[in-house]
Amino acid sequence: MEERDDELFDALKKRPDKDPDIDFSNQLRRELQKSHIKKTKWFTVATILTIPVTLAALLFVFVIGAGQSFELNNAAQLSINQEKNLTNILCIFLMSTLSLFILFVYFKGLTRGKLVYMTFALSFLAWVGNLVFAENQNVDESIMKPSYSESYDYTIKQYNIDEIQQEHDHYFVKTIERGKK
Amino acid sequence: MKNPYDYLFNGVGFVFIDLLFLGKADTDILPDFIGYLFFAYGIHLLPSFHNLKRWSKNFAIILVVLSFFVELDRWLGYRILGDIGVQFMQFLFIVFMYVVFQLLLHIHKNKPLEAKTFRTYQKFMAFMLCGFVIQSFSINVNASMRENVHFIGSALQLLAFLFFLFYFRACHKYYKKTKVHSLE
Repeated sequence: MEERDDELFDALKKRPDKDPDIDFSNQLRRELQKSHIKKTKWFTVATILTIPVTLAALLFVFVIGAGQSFELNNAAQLSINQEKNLTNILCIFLMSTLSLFILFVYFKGLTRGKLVYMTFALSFLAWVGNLVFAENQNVDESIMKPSYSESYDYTIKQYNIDEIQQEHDHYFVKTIERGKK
Repeated sequence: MKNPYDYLFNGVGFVFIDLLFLGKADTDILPDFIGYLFFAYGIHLLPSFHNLKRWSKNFAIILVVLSFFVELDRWLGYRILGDIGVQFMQFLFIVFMYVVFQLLLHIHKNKPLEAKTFRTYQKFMAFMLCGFVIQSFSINVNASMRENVHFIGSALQLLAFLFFLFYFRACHKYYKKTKVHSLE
């Protein structure tokens, strides 16, 4: 029995995890903690939302900055009207994503940090991008042009304008004749 | 002792409200640069020694100069800067209000109005920036929707102004109360 006990004792002594390597376990714990922090840092709602928004805004700005229109005509065989619709939809989409991003950042309760400064930068970029895009598109009509309404009769207005113009012409003709006399 | 919040609110009012003289375009009776002067004096009166106070005061003085030139441009009818100058001033105003709110948050830390300041900051900044973004996108949307989109942006900014108004009332009452206590 004693021999057997000794053997067992020796085997126990030879076990590698007999007394734990303190340095090693500390290191392991630290690594585990680090990886845990990384995991919580990378997969938050903030990053998932911000990365596509920033990419979209940057792409938009670069495409317009390079002076190119969105060359999707050949790919999708879009007519001019549809291209207009596309830019319209793109505008509204970008506008809503940017607004939602701003709302998200401020209602999350951030007072400083990358995200807050990003809202300022992105809104400024959106403003500049819009100005450049409008300049490239050569928008002739003024911003405050009244929208179309069904109750407003355009033909009567046109008729009135014609009448006034005729009167003016008549007046001018008369004055010119007087001058000749 | 003067109430600094009165001056801050006067500043916001002057910057926000554009009263036109005899209904003519580009004649603002409540010019923005007087608003920024009010801001500079109000920030000067705020009880703090933080660096933010110095920065925001300097920022206000810079904005006085910039907005004076923009207003002059509009008054004289040169329109060299056009709407771009006005919109850029609007953006700078939003950034300026961010700095002012940082200062107010610092002053009201651990005081009864801390929560109110924070909530006003959240709503004011979010609505102002959203309004700015929507207005800047309104140039490029379809002509039939343009006016409505522009109106939504303006309405959001008006809402932000109303939130600041409520905050100002609370601050005014709070300041009066502390003053009475200090006199006793």
